[in-house]
Amino acid sequence: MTNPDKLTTYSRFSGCGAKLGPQVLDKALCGLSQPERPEVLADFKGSEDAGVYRISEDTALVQTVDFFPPIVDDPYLFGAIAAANSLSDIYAMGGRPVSAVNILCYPEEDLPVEYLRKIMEGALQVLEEAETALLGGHSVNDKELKFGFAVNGVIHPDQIIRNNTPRPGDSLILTKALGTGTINTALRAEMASEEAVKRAEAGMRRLNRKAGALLHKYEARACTDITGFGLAGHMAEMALDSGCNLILNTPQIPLLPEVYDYIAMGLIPAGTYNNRTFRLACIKNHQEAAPELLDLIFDPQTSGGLLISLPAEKAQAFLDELDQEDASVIGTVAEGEGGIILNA
Amino acid sequence: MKKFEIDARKLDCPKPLLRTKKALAEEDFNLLTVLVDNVPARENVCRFLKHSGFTPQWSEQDGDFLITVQREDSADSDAAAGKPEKSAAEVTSPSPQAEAPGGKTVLIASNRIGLGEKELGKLLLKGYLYTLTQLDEMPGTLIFMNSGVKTCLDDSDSLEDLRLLESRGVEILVCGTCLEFIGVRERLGVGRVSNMYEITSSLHGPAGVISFT
Repeated sequence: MTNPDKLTTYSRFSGCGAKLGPQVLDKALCGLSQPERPEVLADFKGSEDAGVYRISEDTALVQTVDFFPPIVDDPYLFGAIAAANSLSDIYAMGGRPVSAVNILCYPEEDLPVEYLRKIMEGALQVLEEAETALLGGHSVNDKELKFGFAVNGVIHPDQIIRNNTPRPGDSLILTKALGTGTINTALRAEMASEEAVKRAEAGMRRLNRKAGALLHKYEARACTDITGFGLAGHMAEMALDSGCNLILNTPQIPLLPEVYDYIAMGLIPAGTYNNRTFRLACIKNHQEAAPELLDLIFDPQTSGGLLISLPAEKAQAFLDELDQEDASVIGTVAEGEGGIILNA
Repeated sequence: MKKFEIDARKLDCPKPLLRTKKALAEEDFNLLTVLVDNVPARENVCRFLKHSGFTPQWSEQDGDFLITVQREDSADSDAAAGKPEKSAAEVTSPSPQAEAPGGKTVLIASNRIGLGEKELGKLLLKGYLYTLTQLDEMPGTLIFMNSGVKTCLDDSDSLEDLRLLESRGVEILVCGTCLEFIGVRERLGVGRVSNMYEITSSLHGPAGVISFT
């Protein structure tokens, strides 16, 4: 056992930065199909956050799975963040999570069982906050620690909020500050400030529950949660699949402390480069953008906020009721050809 | 010539950057090479070196990237004795050991030079920036703060001179807070928007600083 109190040393990657590159996934899934079933309301063919399956006239099942290597060193916090991250996709669809099963890869020889206990305690605390029951799980003895959940939620089949249905004139709201990938990289380099780490951790630990619960009340038209592909990566999906242009007012993006400083120092996760390579062309005016800005908007997020497209006149009331200081209107939706436009 | 080599292949981010940081702090070298095997590592290490006041260069080698930087202040370097004297008394914070590659840092914290006649002060600044373009030894970094940022706007008299300097490798850092405060950020015509952290790092870096009052 090298350094048991540094959980992040038990993985090569961190958080959602460990995702397979988007090009790889696209290549692997491209052209795959399955028999059409009328009950399937959303599956892997789109870029939805979760799959949806109708089980009766008024109920559909929302299903998602998410697990990843440690993003923080504290086991309790890691468990809590992993749970919040797994639940997020359900909220992004407008659903209500009800049950979860655990997925665990654990280095039995290297980490004491007390760590696993703490990870589970952190996760259960968050599941409880989400009023979601833990039903069981499956474990594998693995050199690299990974942890997360498959989550089931429920939703009325007519109330699914997809990610490709924003309308011109809508406002775009982001509900968490950006920069967890960069701060995690700075943490691994032992160059992150306590304040930056604390704020990032608090954001990742927070459920998207409240924002999710307000989606219907304020007539949200489209929603997705910001994770491994970064803000611009997830915006690109929303733009491409809808044919709308998304205008991002870059000074309004809520930021975690010191993120720009770390970016300037080169503390940039490898995932940022993958994301940027894959989706840069979606940004119509990327040639005019500062490289630091591009690194920021392609920063892979772990347990990031919701990106919500809603009628402009509802935006302020939504933010008022959400009452989170790191939530902000970051842009607007316009007619267009399915791209992102940066507006300084 | 003391050379220090880092083989950072097969290391995940941010380890190549960490190795580089450690070498800068602890090793005595004139030439530092960092070998990496992927683009993110190359970009991150280059950016870190640049941020630390160096001028990194890289070349491709059999699919890997070799990054090199030079440092002239190796403790027992013979070259140090033969280095040119530092110029003029304007050097307000003399560099502790030697010049960073690429020359001095110049802090321009007003849109004119001197406190007397305003119009004269503006002409002097314009003349200074033009003269820089004519020098053989250019500064490494120009930092614009407070009303100095106006010099970098799209309607500035010195726009062409600054663009010329930038194209020759002079780093032009423009205080983002100042642009916001004056409300002219969208009119920036030259330079890179920067923050207090980077500006302070540059002012306190190894390069000598010239500032005008």
